[in-house]
Amino acid sequence: MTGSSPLRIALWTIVAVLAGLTAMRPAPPSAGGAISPWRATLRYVRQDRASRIAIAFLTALALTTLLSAWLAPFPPNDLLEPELMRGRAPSWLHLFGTDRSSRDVLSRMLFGGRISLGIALVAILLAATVGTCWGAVAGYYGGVVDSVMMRLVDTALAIPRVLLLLAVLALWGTLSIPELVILLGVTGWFDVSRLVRAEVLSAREREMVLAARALGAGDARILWRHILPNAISPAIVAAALGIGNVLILEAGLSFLGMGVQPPDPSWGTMIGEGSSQLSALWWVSVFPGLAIVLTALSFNLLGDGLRDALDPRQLPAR
Amino acid sequence: MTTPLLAVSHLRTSFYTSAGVARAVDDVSFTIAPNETVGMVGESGCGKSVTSLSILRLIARPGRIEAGSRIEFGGQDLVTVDEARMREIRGDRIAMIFQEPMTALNPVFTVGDQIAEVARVHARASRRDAWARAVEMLQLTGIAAPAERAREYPHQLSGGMRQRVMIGMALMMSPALLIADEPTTALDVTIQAQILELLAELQAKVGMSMLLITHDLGVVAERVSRVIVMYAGEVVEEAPVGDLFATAHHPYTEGLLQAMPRMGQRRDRLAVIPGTVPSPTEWPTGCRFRDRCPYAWERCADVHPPLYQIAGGHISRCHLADEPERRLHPHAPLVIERGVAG
Repeated sequence: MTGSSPLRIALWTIVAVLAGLTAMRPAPPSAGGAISPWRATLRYVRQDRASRIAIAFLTALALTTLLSAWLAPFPPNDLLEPELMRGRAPSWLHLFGTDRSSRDVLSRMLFGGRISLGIALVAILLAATVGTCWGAVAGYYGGVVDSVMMRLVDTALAIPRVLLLLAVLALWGTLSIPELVILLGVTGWFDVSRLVRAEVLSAREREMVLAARALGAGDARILWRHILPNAISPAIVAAALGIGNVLILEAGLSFLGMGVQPPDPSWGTMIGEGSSQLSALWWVSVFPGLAIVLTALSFNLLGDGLRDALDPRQLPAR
Repeated sequence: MTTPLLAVSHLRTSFYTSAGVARAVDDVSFTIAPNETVGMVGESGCGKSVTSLSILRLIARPGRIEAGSRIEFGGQDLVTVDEARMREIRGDRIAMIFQEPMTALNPVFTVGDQIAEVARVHARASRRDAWARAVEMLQLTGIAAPAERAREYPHQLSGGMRQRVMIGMALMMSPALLIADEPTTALDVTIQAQILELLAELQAKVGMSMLLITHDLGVVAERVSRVIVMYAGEVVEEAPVGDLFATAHHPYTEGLLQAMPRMGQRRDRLAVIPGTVPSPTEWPTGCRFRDRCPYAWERCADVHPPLYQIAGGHISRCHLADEPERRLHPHAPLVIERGVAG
């Protein structure tokens, strides 16, 4: 499992071609027939070049991290000849160099991406779900329920998130990855709940809700079928924009030694490992740093594209 | 007289707002017989829609149906039945269609899905069954290629087709009473006629009563047997449709008829009723129409007119019933200062 093999080269080529095609090809023109609002949104997003490039980058990233076992030229945590190979600059054999323990930076980045992205995605999913439910219930029932629920959110929002996280981590010490995900999730849903609540407040006054009620639909059905689907778009946009944030937050915590624990790589821990010798072994920190920047940028571009597609009020002229 | 299907008596619905208590519907009584079509007319804000929503008990806070109101339907009082029973009645025994079918339909589901939902709620039909019945309903409402249309979204349909979809949803369970709140106002004239024709046809087929709410007297003239005229939260006149057009009694009804364009009559300007409806938070004392009425005299400001019997089935809330000679001397509406009712 070291160096370049035909299988590995073939896989890399396939990933590159897929990403390239995604980036180049705009959405096909409408084929006629019934178009669901979700499909129309996706099609619209794919008309936008920045979103398309973001989607291509994220697709490639998802594929490479998922297939890291086959794509990585070296095992991520193995020390390769500690004496001879440590601190090597980028070369054909080690495209992104090796760190001071002689581990291959590219391989660690591929495995680290799996951990970093996995944490960010699951955490944001958790945050969006909790925030949507909270906001929907508050907005739908209104009155005292709404006031109490939203004052709690306001209180939570008044505490800076990083401070909150550091306080929790200081109390509990280091966390396992699932615990870290839960922590990032439960501290990230406050904004989403406010967005969803506002949207539910306006959606529940729409005539279709009255019409559904007049036809005998109950609260659960009305909230689930008639209000939420029409109030969910800001949550989707917030989630897409929030992934970049969580990614950076996780990297920051790991950099501080309070997130993912060595020897497992995450992009944040890798930056931390390289930081002490930044001038000598710059490649150890710079490549994971670039990965974080590009990934966060892509999610932000995609989020912007989704917002343009989902919220016509903010749309510049088509 | 047969037992009425629906008997509304002394219905009062008020909204408790920061600006005061708005008595949107104030002591309204009427009945609808089985298979009968009753028209309800009046200008915006007169309480037509609040009356219809009260029947389905869809008045949301800060609105409230006041104690003492009774809405008898199928042997029960809809004001007091529990919410679970009320939910069973809505869409099953009483259905409603709305003015603007685009906003009354959910944009994220196909129309077939939305019609099928009614069967899923009330008949606990399986997905497949409900879908088949939805397609059947679309066919019944005269939509061509119903199986294909069922898979489309509301925004892909024309206004007339959307209203047909709404009708399909409302009639899915063959209700005993259909409340149509301005069903044709948002449609263009040729489509209006088609939709009204369709409603009449389906009414005969299903055998249901209909409460047709509109501000268009032309619609009323053709399609209903009896008309209730509402003004400022009250019934001001009720008559069989022929009587109403031939011998309208209440000055408000008279004004509405004069404001209507008629074929074969050349007029440069249509008549208008001067002024506006008073605010529901402070109805005037006496007659609520007096500020706009060309016959009003002192009694109208002092005494709130009761419903006078004019002829069989014809009632009117106007003191002219007592002093008919005053109709011979109209004047410009005069404002009689008397303060407001408590």
